[in-house]
Amino acid sequence: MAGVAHLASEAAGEDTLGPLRDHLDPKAFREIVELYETTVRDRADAIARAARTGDFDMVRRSAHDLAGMCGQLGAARATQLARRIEGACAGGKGHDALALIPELAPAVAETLRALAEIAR
Amino acid sequence: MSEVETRHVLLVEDTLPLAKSYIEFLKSSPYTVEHVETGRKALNALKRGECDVMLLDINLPDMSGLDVLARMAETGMTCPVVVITAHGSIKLAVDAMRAGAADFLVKPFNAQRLKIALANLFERLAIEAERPASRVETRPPEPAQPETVTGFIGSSPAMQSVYRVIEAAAPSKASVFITGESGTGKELAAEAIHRAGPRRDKPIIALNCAAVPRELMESEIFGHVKGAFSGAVTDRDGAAALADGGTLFLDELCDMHLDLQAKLLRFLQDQSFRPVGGTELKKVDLRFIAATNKEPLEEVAEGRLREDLYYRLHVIPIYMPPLREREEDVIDIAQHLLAAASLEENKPFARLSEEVKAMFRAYNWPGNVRQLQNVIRNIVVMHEGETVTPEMLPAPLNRIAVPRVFKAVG
Repeated sequence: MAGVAHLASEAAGEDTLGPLRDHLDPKAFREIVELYETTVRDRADAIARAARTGDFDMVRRSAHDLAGMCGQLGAARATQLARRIEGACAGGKGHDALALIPELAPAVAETLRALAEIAR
Repeated sequence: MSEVETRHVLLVEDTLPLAKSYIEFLKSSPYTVEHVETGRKALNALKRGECDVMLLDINLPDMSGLDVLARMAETGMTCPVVVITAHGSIKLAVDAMRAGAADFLVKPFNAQRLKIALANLFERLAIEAERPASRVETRPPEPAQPETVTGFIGSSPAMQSVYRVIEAAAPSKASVFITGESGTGKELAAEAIHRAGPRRDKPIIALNCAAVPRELMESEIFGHVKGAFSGAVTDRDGAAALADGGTLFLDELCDMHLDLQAKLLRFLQDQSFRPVGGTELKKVDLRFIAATNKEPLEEVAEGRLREDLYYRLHVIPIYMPPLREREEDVIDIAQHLLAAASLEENKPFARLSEEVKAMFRAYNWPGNVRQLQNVIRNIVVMHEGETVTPEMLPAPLNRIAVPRVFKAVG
């Protein structure tokens, strides 16, 4: 299954990378996809690290970034979880955020797998 | 081919992949994009002055987008701003619009959405630029005369801004989206735009999307041919055909069923339609004005208003302020309504007592001008005299306290 199609299919949103692929030369498209891959991974790691030290402001900020990127990619599950984590932190419910974080890892991994597929 | 002016976009977004995506979205368009990642850098870029529009993420590392808007207002920096907000952060978008943002985009969005938002904005700015009074003032603007704007009374700053937008929008064909509580004069604003524009000799047809049953709405807009449905005994023109050359005013747009919103969107795009049951494609020339007493962003978020339809219509937004935000106008409007009602009812009422004026100013008028109109009519019909006094006020005004200063005076 094509990565973008897969990402978009699980989302209520739109397939925003697909048109870019048609619009950009392959190298530029691959660069932008790789940038998403790197940054999505970085923010997911940042959430895990900040959660371990109880830095919920950092968890909130990283979750916000992650939600924005995954939303743009049409990765519904990761977007939804990141938003819930962000909301929990913003509402001072650190325990709720901590409970959601383990669910985030597989959703992010799925997003990264799909991105790797389309970057090929 | 006409030469297309290149616009300079200042993109303020700290998440790099998103910023790169937006830059790519605009690559084949007549825009150059400068990207910065913080609010501080955005303000510095604005000081340099090369910005036709700012695309501003609300959530920045050093300050919020709302802070950026506030700093711009404090320092008199005047670049139109389109805020970028997360899905589900509608309140933030509304706050940003109130803080001076010209429009908003809800993440995620695609290239087409971004380009439409920018095109709408520049169309609106071009319209405003034709009227020097509507530009950002370097000197105090001359107060717009209410009588020059059909049907309105009041010279409060909130209404001055409404008058300026109406006057600026009138000569154009650009779609107008009017928001405001019930009773604030949305239909009056639509009429004023129509009457002040080049279509004034053609009809303005108003259609209340909340008042027409869903199954009849399509026929009300597009008309029908004989036999299209039971009861369709003759061909009948709908609002679209009746308003040809003029203005179609779609009131309470958010109450239109989603199926019909899709048809309306197509109609907006090419201004052609088929009457219900008909095969012939009809073409018309219309200006569209839509209105709602709901918060359109919330309606979009809740899936009750199509986002693409909203963007298509939201070229020139007008916010009709509630009466409680027009304290200066309450007495002028009341006096005007009192004179009109007295004339109609053949009564001698000529003025409001100072106590009544104070009570009118203090009251929050949840029903807006329509409620004030009803209050005045009630007084004129039910009472006699030349001066309106507190004892004459109907409920709920008769339950509010006379402001203390008047009690002391007795």
